[in-house]
Amino acid sequence: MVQACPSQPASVVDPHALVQATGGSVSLAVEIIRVCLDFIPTGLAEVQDAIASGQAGRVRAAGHKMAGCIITFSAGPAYVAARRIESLATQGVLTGIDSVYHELEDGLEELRASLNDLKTQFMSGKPKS
Amino acid sequence: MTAATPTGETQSAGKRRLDDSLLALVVDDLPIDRLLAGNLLRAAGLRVVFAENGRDAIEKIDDEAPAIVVTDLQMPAMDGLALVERIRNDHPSIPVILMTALGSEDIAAAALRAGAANYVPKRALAQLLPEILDSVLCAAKSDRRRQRLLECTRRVECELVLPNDPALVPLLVAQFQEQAFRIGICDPNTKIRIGIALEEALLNAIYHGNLAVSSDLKQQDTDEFWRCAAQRAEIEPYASRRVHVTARLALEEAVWVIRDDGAGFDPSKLADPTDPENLLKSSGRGLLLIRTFMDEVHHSESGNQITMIKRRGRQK
Repeated sequence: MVQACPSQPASVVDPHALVQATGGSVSLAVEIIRVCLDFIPTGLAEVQDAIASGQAGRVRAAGHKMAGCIITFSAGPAYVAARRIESLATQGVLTGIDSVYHELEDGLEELRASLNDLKTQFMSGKPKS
Repeated sequence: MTAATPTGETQSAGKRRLDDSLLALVVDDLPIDRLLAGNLLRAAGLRVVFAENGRDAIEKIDDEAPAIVVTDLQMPAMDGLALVERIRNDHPSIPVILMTALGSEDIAAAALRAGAANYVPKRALAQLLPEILDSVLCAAKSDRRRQRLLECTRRVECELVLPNDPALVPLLVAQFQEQAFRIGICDPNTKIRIGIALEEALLNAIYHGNLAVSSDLKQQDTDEFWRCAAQRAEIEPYASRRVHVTARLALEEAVWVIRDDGAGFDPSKLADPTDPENLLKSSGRGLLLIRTFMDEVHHSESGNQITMIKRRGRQK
């Protein structure tokens, strides 16, 4: 069980939300971080392919999936961008969605760094105070 | 034979835990959510199998006959709504719990109408799923000997005055469910939904009516909610308040009236619980389920009495 929450390594990750979601299990938290890190490139490619296809339904589904993955860790810029993509696609609006995609890319880069940091903290068992 | 793990890998049957515990099927295209839900279900003592979409889930249900299905809504290949409809038709006694996320409110409302037993927002999975699981599994249980006797029933009327003891609620709900099922008001699926609605109404009467503890508090601080409820159950004016229940079941319809002794509220100020926009709000959740699962629902002007009607063979 988690005895203490690691401090937030960067502004985008909410370790408390993660600990709450896993019921306090460190090993599950680490596994979930690993799964998310594996998913990010695949999910991002799905969003990109969907936008390139011009099919709003595909864009909506890919954005929803990405947002669903991110919200376990953070409601930061990557989540906001993924939700925005989902929302625009739901309305059938794909114009200007490229710029939101770039915001998602940037946000995910930041999230990935934070998740790696958090994973290291959990695995070392020496959370920052 | 192989079983999929939450992350989509497989493991041999020899490594699976083979015991008599109930089997749950988790359906979600996101590995993270499969992991989280699977972990909670295992912690509740269930064995767990996984599917990544509705089509995959149907195969698992046919092969493994789970006791309960916990599913996402937006998935490729077959979404949660289509899955609920299929289970409703082919396996009406298997209850389905929906996992809802922002952006899936409309489909969640439709899936509840189509036959799902309950729902839990993904953001509150760890806090709410264990309790909802208990409630749904309890509502799905049956006592075969009592069922046979109840099949002879043509009309039932009863009146109860209950103390604020939530332990009595599942017993009373099970009794009403069996009466409704055996008298022919509902099929196995609707029986589960009636159970959920009655339980919500009875617990509302105890916690929100008589003990005046708000649902917002439960969402914000579950421990504080239970502490406050336990404390008030021992002190006046809450302790002496009672829940008054009247049931009239006949071949064509069942009517349940539940009244509490609390201060009541103005029912006209209730947010519309059937509006998908309100699906993820903490308050009004119980009322949404009640309105979805019953054919007619009324509140008294004072707000402390609810009348619920279920008519024979009608699926909303």
